[in-house]
Amino acid sequence: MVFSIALRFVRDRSVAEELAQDVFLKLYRELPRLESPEHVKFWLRRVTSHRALDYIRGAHRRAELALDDVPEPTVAGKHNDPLMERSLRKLVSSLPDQARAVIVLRYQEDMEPQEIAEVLGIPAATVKSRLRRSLALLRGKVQRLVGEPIR
Amino acid sequence: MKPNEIDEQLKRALRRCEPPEGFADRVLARVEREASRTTSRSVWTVWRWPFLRWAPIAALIVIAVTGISYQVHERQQEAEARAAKQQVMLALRITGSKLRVAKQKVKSVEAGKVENKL
Amino acid sequence: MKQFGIALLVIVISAMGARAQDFKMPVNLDRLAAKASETTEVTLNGRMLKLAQKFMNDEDDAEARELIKNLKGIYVRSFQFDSVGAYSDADLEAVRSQLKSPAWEKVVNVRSKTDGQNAEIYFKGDNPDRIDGLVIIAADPRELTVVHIDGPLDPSNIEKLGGQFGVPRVEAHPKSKPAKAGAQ
Repeated sequence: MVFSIALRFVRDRSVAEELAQDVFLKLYRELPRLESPEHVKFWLRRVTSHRALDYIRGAHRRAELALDDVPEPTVAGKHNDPLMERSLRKLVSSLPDQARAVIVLRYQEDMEPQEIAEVLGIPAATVKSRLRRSLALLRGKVQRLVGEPIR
Repeated sequence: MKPNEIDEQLKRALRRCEPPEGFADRVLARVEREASRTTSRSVWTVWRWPFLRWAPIAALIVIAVTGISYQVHERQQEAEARAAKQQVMLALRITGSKLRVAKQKVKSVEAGKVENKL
Repeated sequence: MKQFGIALLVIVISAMGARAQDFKMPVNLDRLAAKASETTEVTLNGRMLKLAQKFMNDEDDAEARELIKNLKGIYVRSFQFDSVGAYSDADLEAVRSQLKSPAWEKVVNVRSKTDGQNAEIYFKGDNPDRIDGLVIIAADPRELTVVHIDGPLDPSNIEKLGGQFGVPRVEAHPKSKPAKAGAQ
């Protein structure tokens, strides 16, 4: 989870691993203060997201990605269309940082907008509007790729 | 295409990536290095730094500041807990009312079946 | 103590790989708020529920506290509309499609052609002594409510849900067949 969130945010495997290691190191120090497994999960998502977003802001990374640079899941899903999935992953990677963060937390981590808002420290309304806009953008781009409307 | 297909496609496309091989071992190695460094540093510090004679006063200041912050934090927590409780009661009321409606509907159906049979 | 911390860390790292096939309130439902004359939204995750319990110490709160004590979340989306036809079956597809998995069982399915009030209730899990999740879809011509309670719930607590907070009690039949209504 931690590595995967970091990777989708920063789009660089070695940076993602370093970030993930930092997060777990910090977790080791903070563990006595965390109250439950859910609190740990929430804490991990929040710290990983913030660290990854801080890294992106510091590195000013806006480079175009080659398809090879886009993170791939380890296990193939059922009923999948590999080409479509790869295209979608690339499109998500090309989203602005904050929008990408919201999409990753929503669809990779299955989080509710309110939970995403708590993790990222932004209003829930902002999360929802970023989700709506990003989905509309992705839909349009996918539609142009496949040549038929997508809802 | 079916409605909400983009949601399903995104969930499939954004399945989690596993960390590289040996990741857990590297994390634990770092944690163990940190753990041993912390132990040796704490012993060293007490004998090394003269400004530690100010430590009791500094500690009092830290406690006072932390105490105030803690009270503010407590009040915020209390407000949050109160709001959460209201939400819980609202959710349970709505759930209860919908369950009751469903139950009434089921009863009407069963009563209708009995009537038809008679 | 440090060894314990490291051991705990190992458990956390390995546990983070798993991804549950949980029900989630679809984002598309939130679009209905723009058409609704009244919207009620409740989103309470495990952390918020634990926080709420700290404030539920009165005798009146005892049953509610008992009910929610092991829950992982309570989520409600409820919309009231001025006119009929403000939402469609397609809007509910994102909800229903998640409940088609083997983990969920539809225990109530009531459709009324006379007053248009439809209700579906789904339970999650196959342990007769425990319900791991509850979803209610109450679809009326001018009102739509989706409730998700992320368990575990004691089946006897389902009755209390109906009986608490000023409404009559409801019986729980976690493994009963769906009750279907045609025209009444």
